[in-house]
Amino acid sequence: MKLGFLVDLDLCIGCKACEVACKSENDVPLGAWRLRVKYVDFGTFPDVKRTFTPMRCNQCENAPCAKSCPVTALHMLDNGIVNIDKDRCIGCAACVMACPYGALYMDPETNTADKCTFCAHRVEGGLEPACVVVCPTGANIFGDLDDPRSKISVYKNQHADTRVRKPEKGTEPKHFYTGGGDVHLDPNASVREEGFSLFNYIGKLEKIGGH
Amino acid sequence: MDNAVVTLDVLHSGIVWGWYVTMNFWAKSIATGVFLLLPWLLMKKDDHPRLRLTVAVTSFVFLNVTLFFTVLDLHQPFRFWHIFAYPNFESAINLGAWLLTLFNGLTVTMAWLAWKKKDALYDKLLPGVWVVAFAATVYTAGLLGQANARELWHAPTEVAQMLLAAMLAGSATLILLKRGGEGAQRMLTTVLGLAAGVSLTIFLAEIVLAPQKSAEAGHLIHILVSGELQTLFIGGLVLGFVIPVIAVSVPSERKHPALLGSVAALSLVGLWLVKHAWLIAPQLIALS
Repeated sequence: MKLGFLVDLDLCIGCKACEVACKSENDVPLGAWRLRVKYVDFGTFPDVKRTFTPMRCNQCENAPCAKSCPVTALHMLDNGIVNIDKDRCIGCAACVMACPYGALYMDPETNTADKCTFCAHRVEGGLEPACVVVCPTGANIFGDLDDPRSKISVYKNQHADTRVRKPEKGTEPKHFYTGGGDVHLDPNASVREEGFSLFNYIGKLEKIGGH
Repeated sequence: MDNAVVTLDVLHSGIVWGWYVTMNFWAKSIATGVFLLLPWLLMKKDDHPRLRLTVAVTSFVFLNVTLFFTVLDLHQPFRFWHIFAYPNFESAINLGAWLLTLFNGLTVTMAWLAWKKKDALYDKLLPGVWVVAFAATVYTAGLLGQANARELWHAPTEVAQMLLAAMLAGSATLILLKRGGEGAQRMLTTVLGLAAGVSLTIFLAEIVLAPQKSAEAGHLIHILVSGELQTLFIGGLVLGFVIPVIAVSVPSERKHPALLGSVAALSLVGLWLVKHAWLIAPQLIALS
């Protein structure tokens, strides 16, 4: 079994229900996110568009976070999920430095690294991840990549434009996207200006974990 | 894509590895550098009678500064022992922890031997200690190389830069401690100038070549050279690398010892600034 995720970006409406469900399900503290939806506006008026991109851990097959973790707190489960043992984590942040997707964060309450685990606790009980359940458009597709009849495998085969983020990093992500372009997936394809934008403040966290 | 702007997103992590980690790199350069230079100083035959002890004690002190800041940087410092209890030998941090622990034990042994004036045994152990010091110097390049997300740290020259930093820091520290005769001081001055010169050349090559590697690398070089880290990076290069190169070029009869000491101190300051800028630059950009 190799669990994976696929987001159909043509279906995502940027409602952030997945973001809220994730926060609630996993008690993600303020100032930290396991899953986020990024908006990028592009084009020249009147020909402008807004993109919505949900981003979570890619559960990489060749996970740089697990390789760099000095205490094996980050480890791969049999179902392909890269899990974290927070009781073992020493908070060195090597994983935060290693992840090319910025998917790991320092939990300000536990002072350990944390990340999306595809809701491993729910999956173990036969449930789908919280973000999948709440998605009103079915944009989040979750399942076994090893099973050719699973919804994710069928969806992947039916969409020739399926791609992953930063394939050049050689991490072999198990998180795919369809329907998107560079603006959705490549952070260098858009400008991220610090300051107040249309909706919120774009900036950096001043405090990382307990430091 | 033209005119693409992020209009809604969370705050990104910012600087996770800050000045504690810079202190780690900088102090380790001194701790290993003094031992890397010692065999050549001993060959000069005009060495200071307490040179062996000075090197071992200096190395021990700065190695423990390194370890202190390493542990301080952990968000769970009291779990430091997990590194040895649950080791991941694929991790450069884990290998580094074992190496530095071994090196720490060796510096204590060498200090004790020097204190007891057992110079013959000290010199017999020195090649082994030198190899461990070498490994402790270059493992950091592996550590940075494992940071898959930070392209700036993946330069193939990173190993050379670590060694040059150790040479620069080691020679500057020994110049400041004034251990060694005139010949040894001359040698240390030359090492300081050469290490600074070669390192500066590599930095300049990185500045020119990095933008051709990727858009991300180009953006990072822009941050360092003309962006928000310009003062830190360029200031560090001038203090730590340009000034020593110029000072070494001054004819030896015009080199005042006080000037040499000032240059050595400036090079240590400059090294810290450059290492810090190099460390935090890749953390200033959003990865997704």
